Amino acid sequence: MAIDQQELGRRLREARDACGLTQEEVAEDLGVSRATVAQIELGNRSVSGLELSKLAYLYARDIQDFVAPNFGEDDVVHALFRSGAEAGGDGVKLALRDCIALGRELSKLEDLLKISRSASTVASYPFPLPKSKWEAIQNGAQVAIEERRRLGLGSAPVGDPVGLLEGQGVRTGIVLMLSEVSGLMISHPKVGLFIVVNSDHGPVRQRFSWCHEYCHVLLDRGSRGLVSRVSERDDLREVRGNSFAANFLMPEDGLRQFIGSLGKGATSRIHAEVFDESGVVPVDSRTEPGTQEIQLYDVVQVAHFLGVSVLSGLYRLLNLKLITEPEFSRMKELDQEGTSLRLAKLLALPPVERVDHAAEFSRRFLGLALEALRRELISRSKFVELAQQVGASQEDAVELIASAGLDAAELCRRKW
Amino acid sequence: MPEEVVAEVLNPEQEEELSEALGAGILIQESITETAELELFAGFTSSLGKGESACLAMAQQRGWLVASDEGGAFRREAEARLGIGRIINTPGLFLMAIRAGILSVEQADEAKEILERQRFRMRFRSFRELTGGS
Repeated sequence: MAIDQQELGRRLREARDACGLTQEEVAEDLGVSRATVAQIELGNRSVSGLELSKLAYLYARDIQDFVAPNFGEDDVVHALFRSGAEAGGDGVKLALRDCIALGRELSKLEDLLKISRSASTVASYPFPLPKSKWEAIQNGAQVAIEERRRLGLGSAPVGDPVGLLEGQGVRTGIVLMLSEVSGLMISHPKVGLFIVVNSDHGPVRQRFSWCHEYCHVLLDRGSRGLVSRVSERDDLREVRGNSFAANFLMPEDGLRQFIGSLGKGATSRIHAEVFDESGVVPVDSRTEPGTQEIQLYDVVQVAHFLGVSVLSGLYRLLNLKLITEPEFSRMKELDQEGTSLRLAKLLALPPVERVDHAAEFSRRFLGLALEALRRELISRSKFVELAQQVGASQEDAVELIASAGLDAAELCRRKW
Repeated sequence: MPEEVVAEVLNPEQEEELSEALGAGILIQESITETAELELFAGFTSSLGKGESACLAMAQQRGWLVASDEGGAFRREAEARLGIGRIINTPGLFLMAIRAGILSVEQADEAKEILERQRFRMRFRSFRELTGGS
C-alpha cells in the first residue's frame, strides 16, 4: 500500500533536516515559496514527480527511498553532509550530491547488467586506526609499498592515478570545492567507492590528492566517508594518507635510481670487506667532495619524473636522508621564490598535464548505459538523462545513440 | 500531457508549438498528485526517462491510454503494465482522429509528409490504406 501524503511530507522534512538545509534554501532550489515547502512537509500539498526528483537530488537520496515502505536515515550521506556543512562549503555539498547521484545510477546500471560489484579489485588493508603520528607514517609507508607490489608498479612512477583507480572499480570525480578541501572519499553500499578531488587545485596537487584519498579507500573505507581538509592535517588518518601518497608516488627505489642516474646520491665514503675463502680484502672508496650534493635543479627533475611538486620531492629526499636539513631549508626557500619554475622552464620540462579524469568515469558510465540500452534494459530517454548527468548535451546523447547503431528512427513497425 | 514531459521539450520551436497547444486547450498539462502515482513514477525512473515514467504512472493509475512511439524498454514496460491495447503511437493517433472525423485523410497525409521530412518514416504511402479506402 502506498504511503500517504502526510508520511511523504514527514520523510521529506526528516531528509531536509538531516542535510542541514533550511526551508528557504530548498524553496530557492525548487523555485517555489518557503510556504509551499512548509505545506509539502505538513502533507497539505501534493508533490509532483519533478519536484520529488529534485528533492531527492537535493537531499542526496534515492527517489525510491521516499515512497518505500520503510524510511530510515542514510547515515553515510548525512554524516558527510554535516561534515561538508562544517567546512562551510557549498562545493562539498554539491560534490556529494553529484557523486552520490552518479554513483547510484552507476550501481543501478551495474545491477541491470548483472555486473557484480564484488568484481571490484581494490584491496583492503585491515590496519587499526594508528595511535600516534609515527605509527600513522609507518602504516602509510608500509601500505604504499604493499600496494605498489600488488599492482606490479615496481619502482616506476605512477602514470595516471585516475586510470589506476577506475581500473579497480573506484569511481572518480572532480568538483570545485573550497580551497582548503583537497578531496573526499565515499564508501556507500548503493553508491560504491567514490573519490572526488578539488578541481581548483593544480594537476600535481590533484595527483597527490588522488593517492591520499586512495589510502582512505584502502584503509578507512569502514568510515563510509571522509572529507580531507588542510585544517585537519594532524588527524592520524590524514597523516597516514599523506604518508601513503608520498611513498606511493615517490617509491624509495625509484627515487634513488633516478638520483643515481644523475650521478648523485652515493654516500661520501664506502667501506667493504671482500672475502675470497682464504682471506679478506678491505675496499675503501671515497667520492669527490661535493659531487654528491643534490641541487635544486636535480630535485626539479625528480619532481617532474615522478609527477609531484618540488616541495613534496624535497620532503621525501629529506626523509630518506638524501639531503640534510640545511640543504632542505635552502632549496625550499629557493622553490618558494619561484626558482624551481624558472629551472623547469630552462630545462624544457613540460608541466604535468591535467588528467581528464571526468572522461575516465564518463567512458565507463556511458559505456554501461549504452549496453543497457542495447539490451533494452533502459529506454532511450533514460539514456539521454544519464548522458546529461555526465555533462553531455541532449544532442550529443542522441548522436551517441545513433553512432552506436541503436537509433530506431522508423516509427511504423508496430501495430496500432 | 504530464508536466515531466513538458519539461523535456527543450527545442525552442517545439516549445513554442507545445505552449500554443497547451494555451489553446488542445493539450492539457497534468501533474502527478497521488502518492500511489509517485510510487510508480519513482520505480519506473530506474530504467525509464522522467517523462516516460510519469506517462506510465498516470496511465496505469488512472486507466488512461499512453501515446508513445518508443520501442525497447519503454514499450515492454508499458505492455506489461497496461496491456497492448492501451498503447497508441503517432500513426495510431492520426487514425483515431480520422475515424473520429477530426482530421481528413488528406490532412493526415500532409502531416505524415512533414514527419517523414524529420526522419519519422511510416511504412505506408497514405492513411487511406489503413482506413480501408474510406
